[in-house]
Amino acid sequence: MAPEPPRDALFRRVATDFTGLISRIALSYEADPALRRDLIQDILLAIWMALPAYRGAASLKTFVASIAQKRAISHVTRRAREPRQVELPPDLASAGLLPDEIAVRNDLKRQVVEAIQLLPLPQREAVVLCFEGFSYQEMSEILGITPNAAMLRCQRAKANLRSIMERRS
Amino acid sequence: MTPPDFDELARLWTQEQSPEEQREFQRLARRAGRRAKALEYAEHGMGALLIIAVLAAFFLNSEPATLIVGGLTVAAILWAGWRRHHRREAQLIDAGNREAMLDHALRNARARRNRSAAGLALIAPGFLLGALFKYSVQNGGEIGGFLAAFVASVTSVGWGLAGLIVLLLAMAWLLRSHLAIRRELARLEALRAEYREEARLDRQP
Repeated sequence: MAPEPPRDALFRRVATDFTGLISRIALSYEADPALRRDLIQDILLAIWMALPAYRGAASLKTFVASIAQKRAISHVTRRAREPRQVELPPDLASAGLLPDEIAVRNDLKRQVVEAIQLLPLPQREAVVLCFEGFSYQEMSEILGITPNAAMLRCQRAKANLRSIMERRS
Repeated sequence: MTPPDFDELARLWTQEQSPEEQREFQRLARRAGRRAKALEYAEHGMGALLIIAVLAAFFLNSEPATLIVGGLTVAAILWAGWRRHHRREAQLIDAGNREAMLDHALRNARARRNRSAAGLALIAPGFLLGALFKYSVQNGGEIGGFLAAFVASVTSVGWGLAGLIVLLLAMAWLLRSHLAIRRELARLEALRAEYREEARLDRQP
């Protein structure tokens, strides 16, 4: 059997290892499930096109997040309005939890997602990257700011997120 | 209610996807891969067709002038393809620099708005001029009585009325897309202001 071309192999890795990352970035910008699917598809297409330029200078995760964030911002500007607040699907549960625990977690997750979607875009980018476990150095590469600025932006975004969640509850 | 601490929120945010969501994602990934490959094949195929057409023209008429023009055309096709490919790649991987990205999007949106405004402003006079031209051709260069004939043609069932309906539909479509571009422009400007404000806060001690 012929070996898989490098781009195909890398794309397969992206589609396997970063399913959650790409889906969650899309979720933070688009509440409508149908439009979110379009956004995910758009992100994957952009990643495929950009993969030949990936030289391994940054981690593949940083590369993927960077392209996903940019695509998501373009998506929001194209839609020319903030995401509609569409009810999230009920299957947000974690395995192995009791039904009432699942309900509480689902409710909490719904609140987190809604609060993230209400943040201004620059803070939304920062908080999502924080949640995804990126270091300030990696965040600075993705956002095009200094690591110190990334840290300050994260702090403001976290404070803002908390205050939105407090107000809404 | 006080929200949970940040680590707990992060755990909630990154909790594992359901198998259904994962399957849906894999389906989207396969589709994106197929679509991207199809786009690339179409692009390469179009380039190859153009080059074959130029080479065929050269073999049918192998004059030095044909060779020069053909060679330049092939070089232009290859160069344009290479440039487009690299520009697209550079745009995609140019991490960060949101302001440059928004400036670029704003320039594009303004250009589209101007084109759409020009289209809106010109479509009705263009229609009238076309009708006037047709009237003058049909009347041996005479344009006297055009207005009465025009009103008569658009107020009775016939091609004139059909043309007017098409014009109104085109105007409605143009107006709709113009308003959408203006909304996009306003959103982009607001977004750039948000990024500038955030950058200002980033610099504060």
